[in-house]
Amino acid sequence: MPRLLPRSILHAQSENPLLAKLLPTCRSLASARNELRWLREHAIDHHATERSPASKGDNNNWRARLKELVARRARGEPLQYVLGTEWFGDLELVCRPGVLIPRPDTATAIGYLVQRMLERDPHKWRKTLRVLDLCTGSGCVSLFFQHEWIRFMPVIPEIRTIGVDLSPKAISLAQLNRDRLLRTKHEDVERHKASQASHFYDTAFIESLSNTSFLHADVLEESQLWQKLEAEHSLAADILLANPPYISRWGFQHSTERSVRRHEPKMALVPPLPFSIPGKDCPKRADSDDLGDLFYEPLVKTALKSDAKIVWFEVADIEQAARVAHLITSMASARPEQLELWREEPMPGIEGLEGKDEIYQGFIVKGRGNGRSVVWWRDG
Amino acid sequence: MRAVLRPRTLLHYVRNVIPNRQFSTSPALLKSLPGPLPPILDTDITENFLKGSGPGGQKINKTNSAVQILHHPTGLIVKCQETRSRSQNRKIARRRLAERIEELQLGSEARTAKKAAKEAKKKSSATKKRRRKYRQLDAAKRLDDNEGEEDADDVNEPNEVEEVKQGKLDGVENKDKAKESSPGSLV
Ligand SMILES: C[S@@+](CC[C@H](N)C(=O)[O-])C[C@H]1O[C@@H](n2cnc3c(N)ncnc32)[C@H](O)[C@@H]1O
Repeated sequence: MPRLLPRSILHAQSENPLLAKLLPTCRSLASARNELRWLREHAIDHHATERSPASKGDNNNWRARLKELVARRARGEPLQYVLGTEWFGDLELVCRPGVLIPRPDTATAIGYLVQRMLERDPHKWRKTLRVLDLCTGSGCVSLFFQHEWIRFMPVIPEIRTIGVDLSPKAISLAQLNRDRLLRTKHEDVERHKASQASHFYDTAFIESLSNTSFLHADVLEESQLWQKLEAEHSLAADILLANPPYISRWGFQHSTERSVRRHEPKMALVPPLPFSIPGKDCPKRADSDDLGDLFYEPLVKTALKSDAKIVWFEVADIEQAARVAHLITSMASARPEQLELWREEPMPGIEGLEGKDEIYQGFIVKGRGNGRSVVWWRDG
Repeated sequence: MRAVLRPRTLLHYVRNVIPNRQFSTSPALLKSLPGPLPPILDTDITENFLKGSGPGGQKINKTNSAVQILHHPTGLIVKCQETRSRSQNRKIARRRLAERIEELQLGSEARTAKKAAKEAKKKSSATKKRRRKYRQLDAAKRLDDNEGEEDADDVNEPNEVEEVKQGKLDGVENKDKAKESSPGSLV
C-alpha cells in the first residue's frame, strides 16, 4: 500500500471534499477519483429512477444521496455493497451483505478454463453438459461458466447447472442473479431482433439459465449432499467447480484485508473449526494444523462420486495449491500430469509462449501472480 | 510481473520500423479511410491488470478494474480505468490502442518520399497529421503512475482515463524507474 502523502490529502480536499473523505479508504487519489465517479453515477441513476412526481425539479436530491454513499464507503463498507452490484467478466451481478463479493481472479480462472477446454477437445461435449458448482455464493461461477461456454465453444449442448451453498442468503441471491440475467437477456432478445448472431447467443444463454438451479446443502456432509443431488437427478457431473472457504485462521488475522474481515461473511472465507459439531468432542475432520484445507477432501470425494471429467478448485496460494494437488493424487490415484496449478493470470504471456512451464512440487504451474487454482483434467 | 516502462525510440519506430513492417491490414487500411481499425494481434500485446502484489483471492477486495495494454511492436501503452468492468475496460483500451496505431501509421506514411507529390497538394492536411503526431509523441513522453500518490499534480482527471505512454517490455516492473523518464509537458 502506498503511503498517503499529506500533499495528496490537501490536493483531494481542494479538488472535492468528498474525494478527501474517500481517500483513506481508497488509498490513492486515482482510485478515489474512480470510486467517486462511480458513486456519483449511481446516485444520479438511482435518483432518476426513484424520482417521484413530488420531488420533481429537485435536482439536488442526488447530491444528498451521493453524500450518504460516500459516507458509507468512507467507513470501509465495500464499494460493491454500497453500489449493490459487481462485474464478473461481462456479467453484472447483484451483491448483498451476507454473501461474498465475487472476485476478478475467479472470473479470470473460469474464463481460462473454458479457453483451455476449447483448445483441448471442443467437440467432445455433445451430450447434455452437467455442471456442478459447490459453494456457489452469489452464483457467479455457475452463471459465468455457462456464459463463457456459450460464447466460445463450437458446440452448445444442453447445459444443466446446479449450484450448492449452505447459506440461505447465498441461495436466494444466486437465484436472484439468475432471474435478473434471464430478464435482461429476454429484453436483449426483444431489442436486437435484427441481429442474428447475438440472438443466437442470447437464446442459448436463456435456455441454459432456465436449466440452472440452486440447492441448499452442506458440502462437508457428503452423503447428505449426494442424496439431495440424487433427488434432483444431478449427482453425475461432467464439470465440477468449487471456490470453497479456504483462508486459514492465521491468514484471516494476518493477511486478510480489514474491509473483508469486517464486512464479508466469515463463513464464506474461513472453514469451520473441525471440532465444531455440537455434542461431539472429537474432530469432525482433520485440519489440525489449520491450513484452511478442510473443504478439499470432501470436494474430491464428491468429484469422484459424480465422476466429473474436469475439476476446478480455487485456492489461497501456491502452497495450498500443491497440498490440494497432492491430496488429489493420493485420494484418487490421479497422475501428476493430470493436474495443473494456476496463478492469478494463468494465460500465457508473451514471454510464456516460448518458455517452458514452471514446475512446483512436481506439478505444472501456469501463468503469473499468486497461486490461485488447481485444475484436474480427469479426462486427460 | 509487470513491464518496465522505459522510454524507447518511438520516433525510430515511426521512421524505420513501420515502413518495413507489413501490418496485416495496412493496405486495406490505407486505401479506405476512415475504414475499420486494424485488429490488434494478441501476440503483439501484453495486458496488465495493474493490481500490484500481495495476497489476492478471497483475502482482498480491490475495486481496481484498470487495464493497461503494452503493444510490443510500437512500445505504445494504453490504459483504461473508466468503468468498473475490467472486461469493458479491456475493450476500450484495445480500441484506443488501435486508434493510436492507425495514427502512427498515417504519420509515417505521410513522410515517405513517394508521397511527396501528394503531400504537396494536401499540404494543410499533412501539417495536421504532423501536428497530431507530435502531440502523440508529447503524450508518449509522459509517464505517470496512476496508482501511486505522486500523481496528485498530474492530469489524471476522471475523464482523463487513458494515457499513451512509451515503453518496452524488459523483465520486471519497477514503477519508480518508469517515472524517472519524466513528467513532461502535455498537450
Ligand atoms: C469463497 S465463497 C465463494 C462464493 C462464490 N462461488 C464466489 O466465487 O464468489 C464460499 C461459499 O461457500 C459457502 N459455504 C460455506 N460453508 C459451506 C458448506 N459447509 N457447504 C456449502 N457451502 C458452504 C459460503 O456460504 C460461501 O457462499
